[in-house]
Order: sequence, then structure tokens, then C-alpha cells
Amino acid sequence: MGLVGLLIVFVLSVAVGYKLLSEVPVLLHTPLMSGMNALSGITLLSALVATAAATALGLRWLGVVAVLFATVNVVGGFLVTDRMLRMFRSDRAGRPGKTASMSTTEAEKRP
Amino acid sequence: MYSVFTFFAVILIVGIVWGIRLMNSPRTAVRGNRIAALCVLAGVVLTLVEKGLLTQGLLWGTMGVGALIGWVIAAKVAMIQMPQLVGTLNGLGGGASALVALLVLGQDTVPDFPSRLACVAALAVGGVTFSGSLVAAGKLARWLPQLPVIMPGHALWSSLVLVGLIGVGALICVPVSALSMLALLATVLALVFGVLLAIRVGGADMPITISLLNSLSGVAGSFAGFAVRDPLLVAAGGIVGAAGLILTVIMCRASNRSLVAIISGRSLLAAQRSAGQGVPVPSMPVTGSSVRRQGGVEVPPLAAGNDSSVGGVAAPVGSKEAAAAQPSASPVERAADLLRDAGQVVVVPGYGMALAEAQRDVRNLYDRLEEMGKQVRFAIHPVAGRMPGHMHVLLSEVEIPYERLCELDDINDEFAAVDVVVVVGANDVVNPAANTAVNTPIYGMPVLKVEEAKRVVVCNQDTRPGYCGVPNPLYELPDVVLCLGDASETMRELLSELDH
Repeated sequence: MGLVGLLIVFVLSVAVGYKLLSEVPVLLHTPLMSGMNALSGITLLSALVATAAATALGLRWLGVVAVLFATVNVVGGFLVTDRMLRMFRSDRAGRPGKTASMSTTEAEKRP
Repeated sequence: MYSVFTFFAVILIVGIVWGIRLMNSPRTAVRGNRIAALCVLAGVVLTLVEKGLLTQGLLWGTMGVGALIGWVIAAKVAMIQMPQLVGTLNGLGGGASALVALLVLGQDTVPDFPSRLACVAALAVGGVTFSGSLVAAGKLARWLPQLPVIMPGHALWSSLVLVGLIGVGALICVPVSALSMLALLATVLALVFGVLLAIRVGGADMPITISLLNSLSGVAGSFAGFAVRDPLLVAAGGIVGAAGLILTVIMCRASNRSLVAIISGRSLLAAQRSAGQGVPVPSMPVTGSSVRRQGGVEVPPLAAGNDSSVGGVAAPVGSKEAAAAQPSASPVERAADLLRDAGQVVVVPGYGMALAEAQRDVRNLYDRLEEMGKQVRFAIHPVAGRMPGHMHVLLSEVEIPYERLCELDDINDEFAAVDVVVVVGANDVVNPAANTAVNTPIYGMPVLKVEEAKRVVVCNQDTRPGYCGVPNPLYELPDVVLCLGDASETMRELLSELDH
């Protein structure tokens, strides 16, 4: 892809990202951050390409380190985000009829 | 040239955007995250196919090892360690981008000008992200000092390193020899700058720093994408950059501090100075009565508002009388009495809850109070904890339904109707001095107005000033019961007292 095309992609993605992400509630900010952090590990793609292109042995090893770092980032990041998100529980699912029971006990309490 | 590769890359970008779109509700977020992860996986396969690298065993092997490490880390980490884990992973991503830039610069054929520029940018931003994130993670894990570490001439050194980095970067862009030497020099300078940047940020400013570094890791990835001309990488990096930026701005606003003040450690200097002198900050009301009289905070007369309850549900009166009747009662006993008589209870958790690992005990207290028919909610300040949304994750881990977690703006006007507020390990975020104490780091920060509630129970370690260094006049108010000590133990004592 040409340079101009890439610049357009960059500007568009920042704009779309900004719009989408400002809609995420505070409740999900930690998983959002860790998910975005995982996504930044997509630099793995460039690490793969650059490592394959490296001819000198030293550079190749640098590339291996880059691939390793990026893979840990992607895999660890997405898995831990998944683990976190699965913890979020709704009131409605877990405790049916809670509001009703609350009002009755409230009434009972009054002398 | 727009190839099949570009076509697929666009599809994957759309997939990632769709996944992120689903992340805005807890019901769909799990799916959204998985979609984004699948898109990244597809991107890897696509790249390997497009570049004809499917047979490269070295790449597969390395990715296998990396995936295993990532999997083990993700499975083993405790939720309490989440901030430092995110910091570390973030550093790895930035480091990988910087390494890619080094690789491209080190090729036999010298890359063209745009590529060199992209490489320099990726190298600089990635290097800063790597060392800065690791220092931040070290602080979050408490391996490094929580207070800002400021060396003599810190600002000067930072500026010099930055100027040097820009200078070396410019040299790499113009065609000169010794490209690899310059690249190494730029790497070292970027790493040093990252350390200088993160080391002088204090522990409680970490949410903002981590957000910023998260943004930078995305930007570094995007630059690396420019260097290898990969649209998928450019787009994903741009999205991550925007995400980090949003969180940074939100957090700065919530703590009423400027980003520059935080990363230069300035927001903390005033605090240390005032704490060091051991005198109250000028014009700082210290006693409860003076708080009432001084302008700024409008504290309703607590005693009068005691029996006028909300929504017609008259909470049983007499909490104050009960407490007054037995002055010899211990704070925990008094707190338990207050809770027994309360209808509406709001818990305000802070970093102290995380430190004492008291969330399980808080959950037990929540269950007990719910059984007793109380309405229990949680009021969470945006900068409570060590990363954005930290308290939400800790409370969700102990299975407190997310509908009960309220944001500052949603609950702040309702405190007058609350019978008892239970503060668990939170200090600065409930400090009414934020409204009155001009010239302190806390001044102007939106805080939870717990002093407006009828009674407040504070379960903090001690009454020392919080991270901002400003004494908390809340502790002196007559309607506040102080249960000092380890939050976890206090919660358990409170529970057993309630069972009596």
C-alpha cells in the first residue's frame, strides 16, 4: 500500500477509534485498556516480516526477540482480557426478584 | 497497488472495529474481545501467506513459545496484579515495535526516506514505551519507590536526552553512513528517556501514566506499520493510540491535573512540601466545624437531616441517639449500629481496599447488608485505584453485580439521601478539602461528597493525609465514625458485630 493510502488509513482509524472508544463505560475501562494493549501487540505482523527479511544472524536474533515479545503481548493480553470480562456479572441474571424481596424486608423492619 | 492482501486487511480492520464496538457493554464485551483476537490471528496467517513465510519454522517456534508464555501469564495472574501486568505487556509491545524498526534500519539495502522516518519514530516511541512501561510496572508492583524519584537536574537531563534523540533521529533520516551505530544510539537514548519519564511519576498518578504509555505503544505499532507498509498494523495502532488518549484525557479531567504536571512530577512536589513542613496548608480547614462555616463546601446540617428519609421509606431513626447513648462503644460497634438502622448504604472503595485485599470481605458485608434488606451501592471515583476501572474489576471478581457500581457523576447528588456511607481504603477521593484548600494538589478535583450523607463510617488504615498530602477534614466531622486499621480485619469485625 502506498504512503498516502497508509496515512489515510491512520487518520481514519484514529478518528473511528476515538468515536467508538469514547462510548465505552468506565465500568469496562480496565478490560478496554488491556484489550487495546493486546491489540497493540499486532506489531507482531511487522516483527514477522522484518525477521524473515533479516539476513545477518544478529539481526535475526533481534527479530526472534521481537516476535517473542509481540506474541506474549497479544496472547497474554487477549486471554487476560477475556478472563476479566467473564467476571462481570449482572444483577438480573444472578439474583432474580431481588428488588421485590428488598421492599418487603424494608416494610417488615418498620415497627 | 491494491492487492488481495489489502482487501483482506480492510476486512480484518472492519472486524477489529466491530469487536471494539461490542466492548461498550458488559453483555457483549466478551464476544467483542474474542472477535478482535480472531482478527489478529487471521492477520498473522494472512501476513505469513502473503509474504510466503508459512514454512519458516523459526517464526512458528518463536510464536509458539510466546503464546505459551502469554497463556501461562494470563491464567496465573491474580486480578490484584492486573495493573502491573498491563504495564509489562504494554512494554513488550512497544519493545517489539522498536526492535522491528532496528531490523528495518539494519537491512542491507538502505530504506527510502519515508521508511527511515517511520523507523526512527517507531524506534523512539517504542523504546520510550518499553522502558517507561517497565518502570511503571515496577512501581505498580511496589518493587520501585511509590513516590516520585527526582534526580538533581532531572528536567534538564530529560530535555537533553530528548533533544539528543531528535538529533540522532534526524541524522538517521538524512543519508549518512554508520546507520546502525546511530540507530543503536537512538535506542539507548529512547530507553533512558522512558526511564526518566516514568521514574518521577508517583504511584497514584499511575493510571494516567499507564494510559499514556498504552497510547504510545499503539502509536509505535502504527509507525512500525508504516515502516513495513502494512495497513492492518497502521490501523490497529491508530485505534490503540486513540484509546489510550481517551483514557488519559478522562483520567486527567477526573483528577483535575494536567498531563504535563503529572509526567514532570510537579503535581506531587507541592504535596511533599506541605507534608514535609508538617503544617496545615494555608486556608485549609482542619476541624469539622470550620469546614461547615467556611465557604465552598455546602454541608447540610447532618443532625437535622437524619430522619427525613428518601422516597417515603423512613429509615428507622435513632442511629445518632443510639451512638450517643453508649459513648463507650467501640467504633466498630457504633458502625454496626449505624448499619443496622440504615436503609440506604453506599460503599466507597479505594486503593486501600486493593492493598488490604479486602474485596472478599467487602463482598461478605454486602451480602449481609442485602440480607438485612438494605439497599447497597458502590460509589467509584474515576481515579480510585491504580488503573482506569481498577475498582470495577476487583469488585466484579468477587461477583458484585455491575449495576451496583455507580460512577461519580451519577451518585454524587444522591448522597444526602444515603443513611450510611462506608469508606473502605479511600482518602483523597472523598476529601472535602478539594473544594476549599486552594493551592494544594487536590484543589478543584471532583470528589465524592460523602460528607453529605447522614453518617459516614471510615475503614481506613489511619488518618494520615492521602497521596495528595492534604489532611482530610472528613475525619474530624462529628457524624463520622473512624474504624482504623487493616480494612480486611475491620470488615470482618464489622460483620461479626452485625451477626450479634
